[in-house]
Amino acid sequence: MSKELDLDNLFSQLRDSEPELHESGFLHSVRSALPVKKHRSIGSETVITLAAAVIGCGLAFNYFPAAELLSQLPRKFTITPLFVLSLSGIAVALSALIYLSSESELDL
Amino acid sequence: MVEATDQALIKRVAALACHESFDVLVRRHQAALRYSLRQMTGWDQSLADDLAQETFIKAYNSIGSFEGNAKFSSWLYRIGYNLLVSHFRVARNRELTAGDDLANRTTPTTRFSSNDLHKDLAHALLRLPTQQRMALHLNLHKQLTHQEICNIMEIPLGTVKTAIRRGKKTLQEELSSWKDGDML
Repeated sequence: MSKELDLDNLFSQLRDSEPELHESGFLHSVRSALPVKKHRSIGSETVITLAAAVIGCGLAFNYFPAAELLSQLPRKFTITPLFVLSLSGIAVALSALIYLSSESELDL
Repeated sequence: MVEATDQALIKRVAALACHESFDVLVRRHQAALRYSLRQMTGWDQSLADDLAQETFIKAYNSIGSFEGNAKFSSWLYRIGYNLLVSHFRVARNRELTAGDDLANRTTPTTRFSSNDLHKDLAHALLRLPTQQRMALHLNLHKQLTHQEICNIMEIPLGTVKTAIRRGKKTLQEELSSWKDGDML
């Protein structure tokens, strides 16, 4: 009766001697077969940005109630201990939130 | 320098169709996948590379459907396995139509030198049905658990265990002609 091969040992040998398969040609062939991203030319991107900016400025000039809002601004500020405390509380809460989101990759 | 995780790269590819991020994923996983596919195809390098390329392209096109609860490599193996199965199905149908015997055609009559252990085994594995071949490779070579193999091959746990047991038996018989002390 023939001696049985130790398959675990055989596959362990295979793992140890697994050939290094280089990526160069393969990566190129995969990349060339990927669907091409739609790119706009720099010229058309510039025209779109400028047009959007001009339209935005026009709308803001016509409809934004700047004078009304300015008139509602308080003329003088009184800084009280409670105001300082609230401000520092908000700053601490914001910092904590930013730190937490950067550590846990939380999408805000 | 800290390397980006697979998960972060996948997010970028899904959201921005970022080719550069996908390149990193291909670089990271190509060697293992191509090697496995060579083992599955009787060390047919061009067929294995074609299947690997197709696997990556399919992965790119459907990356939005990738659920992060499995490893990216497992997902790639699942796509690769499905492509492999359909390739052999088409090939078998073609051979049957042509009146040829695929098993006889793909079985090598000669052995490679002892340096070509990988090729020898790949040829021996070709005698096994695709399902057994893949299950055996993932279990013995990749050292994946039965449950992981289940998830990759999308077959029941019992079928995986049976495929591995039968595959081992057939492979033992197939390799019994190897001389004692030649390889092991």
